[in-house]
This record gives sequence, structure tokens and C-alpha cells, in this order.
Amino acid sequence: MWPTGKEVDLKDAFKYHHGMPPLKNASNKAMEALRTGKTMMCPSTGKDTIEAHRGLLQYMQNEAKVEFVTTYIDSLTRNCKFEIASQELKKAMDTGNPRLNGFPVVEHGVKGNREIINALNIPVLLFGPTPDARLTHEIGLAGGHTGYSGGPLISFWNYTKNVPVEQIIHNFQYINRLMGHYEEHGVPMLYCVSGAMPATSPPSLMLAPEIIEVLIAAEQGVKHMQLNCWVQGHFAQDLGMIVTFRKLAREYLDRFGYNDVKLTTYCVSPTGRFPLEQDQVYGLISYYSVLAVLGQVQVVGSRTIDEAHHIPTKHGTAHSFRCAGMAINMLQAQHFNVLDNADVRQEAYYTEIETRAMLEKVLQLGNNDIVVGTAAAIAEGVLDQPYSTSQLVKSKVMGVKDATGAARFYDFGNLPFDAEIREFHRSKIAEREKVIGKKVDYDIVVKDLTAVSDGAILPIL
Amino acid sequence: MSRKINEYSLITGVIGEDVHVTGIRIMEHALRSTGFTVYSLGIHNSQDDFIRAAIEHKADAILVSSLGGHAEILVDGFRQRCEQANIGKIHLCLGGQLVIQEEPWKTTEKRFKQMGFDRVHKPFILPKDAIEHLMTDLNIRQETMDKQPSA
Repeated sequence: MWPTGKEVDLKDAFKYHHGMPPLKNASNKAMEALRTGKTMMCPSTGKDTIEAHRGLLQYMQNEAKVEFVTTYIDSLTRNCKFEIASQELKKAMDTGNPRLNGFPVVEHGVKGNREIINALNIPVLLFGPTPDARLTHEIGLAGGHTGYSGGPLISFWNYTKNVPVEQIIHNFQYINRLMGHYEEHGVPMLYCVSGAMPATSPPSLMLAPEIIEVLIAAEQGVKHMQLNCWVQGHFAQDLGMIVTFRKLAREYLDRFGYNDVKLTTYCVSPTGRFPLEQDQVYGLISYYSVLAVLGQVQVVGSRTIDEAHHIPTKHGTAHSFRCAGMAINMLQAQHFNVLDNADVRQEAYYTEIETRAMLEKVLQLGNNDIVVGTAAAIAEGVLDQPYSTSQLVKSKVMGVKDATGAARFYDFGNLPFDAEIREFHRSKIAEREKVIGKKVDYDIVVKDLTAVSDGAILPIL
Repeated sequence: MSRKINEYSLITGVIGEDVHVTGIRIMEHALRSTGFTVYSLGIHNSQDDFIRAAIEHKADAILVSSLGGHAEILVDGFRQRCEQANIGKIHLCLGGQLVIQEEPWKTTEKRFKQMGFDRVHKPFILPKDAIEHLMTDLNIRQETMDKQPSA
């Protein structure tokens, strides 16, 4: 696909990885966080040239004191447009002005990747969903990265228009097999599934696709997985989701015989519009950091104070993570447990029965084959997303907030839900309608989506 | 004899390399629940994609979304291409974040109307208002608007 692919020599790659200190490996470090009850930090970062990317990651390590860093892959490379990315990279190197929105992993080759890894003491993960990251993984993992965040379903929902999901899953099976191969040679690889991005989405809309990604990866030999808990800001609902996610991922893995797969959790606040005022963003970063510690997750990502305006600077990112770090450091040692709270339990209950309903239907449609079932379920709208870029998705489901700001189903589309689930969501929406004195409608759906950027969990109506 | 609302067909989509899909997806949902027959083209469409779909589905209107600020480049000549394709009278509607420069709304609206768009929406217009305008523009009576989503 591109000449740098020839630099990949797996034997040499295993040797390189075996020479790293154990805690420079992302899986080992995530397991260390689990063992010690710590919540560690991981920013999303990527620059185009080696000098710029290395400088940024070192700054994060030394100044923001984060425990993990990431190589965010530029979007040209993610779409396999290596020729154009390579020309742009050359311009960036010649002029010193950035040209790409991330690190072109393929174009830098194995050697270039190792220049980054060698300059750091902490694990580096590849970041960025895309339908075909096979060559990026061959080069990026041989180059010393020890994990990846993304997955076939998030890539399908949010990064394609007409690519069939089977094709994307096929590409990811290759990546997962490669990770499994590293595991078999004593190099743990951390695979962070991502499922689907939320947009006023009841959590089961993220959990079902993520557990599918977990099962697809387990089948190919991936042994260390991280569950990406997309939090949306409603404490009870977010915590209930995290609890349910851990429980169901473990249960489905065990059911299919993958008892040796190790699970950790990651959480990140949502994408979408952010407040423009930095003071408000500091408030949000602290809020989400507290949520991550209360959810007992191992790794937390964060938005940054300046991303509403431009690609975050290293100073902006460092300020944001120092803010997150302060909140984490205050709360961590307290081991304050709120997961048995009644509201959390109620949210966990509904998230669990909804997710189960979707997964069982997928397995039924595929005759216990998760891949076949997933393709069939998407075609029927049994798996669905409200705002997908893909034309192959039904996009019938839609979420709206209830009176407390939790995400509920405004439209169930073709989701395989029973009367108990439907009645719960309807009653929660009815409570909000009583408070606001009118029916919930599409105008409110829109206002809910922008509420946080306007300064609160619920919009002013 | 007035037509039923489901006999009105609309083409919706995002023009150009823009991937911002949330706005048009909400509009499609709202238009369908109002009763319109909606043919969605999703993201990454050229002018010709819209026009081909409009001919195929004998559409009453084309609703173009653009959030990247490049609308002026992307929709230039849209009406002329419709005329060349013998659908010169089709209702053309445009919405999103149309320009990158700060300028009075009247200036923006006038620019796109001169380019042949019948209705140009302000950024952040809400679905109810956009649908009301569409009903007025297509001469559809309001009392047919009574459908609700399944929840």
C-alpha cells in the first residue's frame, strides 16, 4: 500500500517491545491502575512532524504529568490517502508550519515512530477511528505503540458514507489478529473499543456496539481490552452505565469462553459543541474528572479549554490536564463509593436490560455469529444510531433529555425493546413535559444537544 | 384538489466534503414525522447528486445543508444546473453555517437568493420554523401537521 510497509519486521518488533520497561506498555500500565485503584490520565494528541509530535508528547509527560499519551493519526492517513499526506508532510517539514491534523504514522515509517517512542517514559497509544487502519497498525505497533483506540462500529457509524459494515469488521479482524499475534509473542496490546459516539443517547446505544467490538476482538486473540465509557454529564446515568458495562462485557466474554481477556475502563466526556469561555470549560473538566474517579475507571481522557476555538495547543492541553489532575488527586484517596446509590442502580438496571435486548437479538439474527448478526441487525435497525454519517444506517432512533438531564428515547426506531423499557422512557419524558408545561418536540431535541455548550445540563426553554 | 402531504417528496443532504450530519438528520426525522416523503442523500454530495435524485424521485424541493462555511463555493451555479436538467422551477432551500466571514444576515441571505435559492435559513433555525416556512413555500395547509414520532 505504501513503501514504508516494507520496514515492518515482526521479529524485530517483538525484540524492540521486549526491550521496553514493563510500565511503558499500555496494557501493563492499565492493569497497574486497576490493581492500585488509580485513575490515570490520557490526552488526545497528534502533530505532523517528528519534532512537533515528540515535543508535544514530552510536554504532556513532563508538564501535564499524564500517565499515557496518544498518537492521533491525521485524517488523510486514516483514509489511506498516503500520497497526499506524504506531500503535505514534506511541506510541513520544509516550512516548519503544520499541515496535517495528526501524526502520519504510515508516512513516518517504523523508524520515525520509534523516534517518538524512544523519547518518552510512558506508554503511547494509536488514536483515531477509521474504516481501514491495517497498515497504520502494522507500522505503528512495530514502531512501539502499545495499543489503539477505535473500532469497527464507531468507524462505521461516524466515519463512512457507503462502506458496508462487514468490510470494516474484516479490516478490524486483521488489526485484532495482529494484536493477538503480539500477545502470543509476549507483547501485551491494549485495544480500546469505542462503540458509538453519544448525542443525547441512552447509554445502551453505546454499550451494545462496544460489546460487539469486544467479542469480535476476542475472537482474534486480543487479550487486553479497555471499555470506552462515553459519559454525557448525568451522574446517575453515567455511573450506572459504567457499572453495567463492566458487568456485561465480562459476562458476554465468559459466555463465549474468553475468560482470559482482561478488562479495564476508560472514560471521556462527549464530543460535540463545547462552551467558548475557558472558565466554563475548567468547570466541566473538573466535573467529568470527579465522575471518572467515582466511576472507578482506570484511564480518563478530557476535552481541552481551547478546542472550541482551534486544534488544542500544547499549553491548552497541559492546562486542561493539570485541572483534571487536581480534581482526581483530591478525590482519589477517599475511595468514596456511590455506585450503590438508588438512582445509579435504577439507571444501571435499564441500561442492562436494553443492552441485553439488543445483543440477544443480534446473536439470534446471526445464529450466534456476532459478525453476521451485526450486519443483519444494522440492516433492520435493531442496532441504530441517531446521527450517523452512513447511509446504510436506519437513523430512526433519537434521544431527548428528561427533567433531570438524563438521555431518554424520544423515538425507539426498530430497537427490540419490550413494554417495560418503553414505558420507563415515556414516563421520564412525561415528567419533563409536566415541568416545562408542553410536549417535547424536535426543537427541544436540538436545544438539548447544545445545552452544555450554552452553560447547563438542560437548556433554558 | 390539494395533494396529501405524503405526496410531497423532498431531497435532503449535505453538500461538499462536509461531514456535519446532525442538523440534517434531525430535519429529516422532523420532516418525515410531519408526513413528507424524504429521500436522504447523507453527506458528501455534489450538486449533480442532488439534481439526479430530484429527477429520479420527481421531487418538489431540494434541501441543502452546509456547515463548513464554504457554501458560496459549493452551491454556485446550482439553479442553472437545475435549469439545464429541466427542473428549473424546483424549490431550492439552503441552511447551516453558510459563510466564514462575519456579515449582516441580510447580506448573506441576499447573496444566496441571488444565486437562485428560494429560501435561505439563518444558522440555528429550529425545525418547527424551518418546516413552517417549507409548508408556506410549497402552499401546504397546516392542519395536516399532526403526526408524532413513535415514542
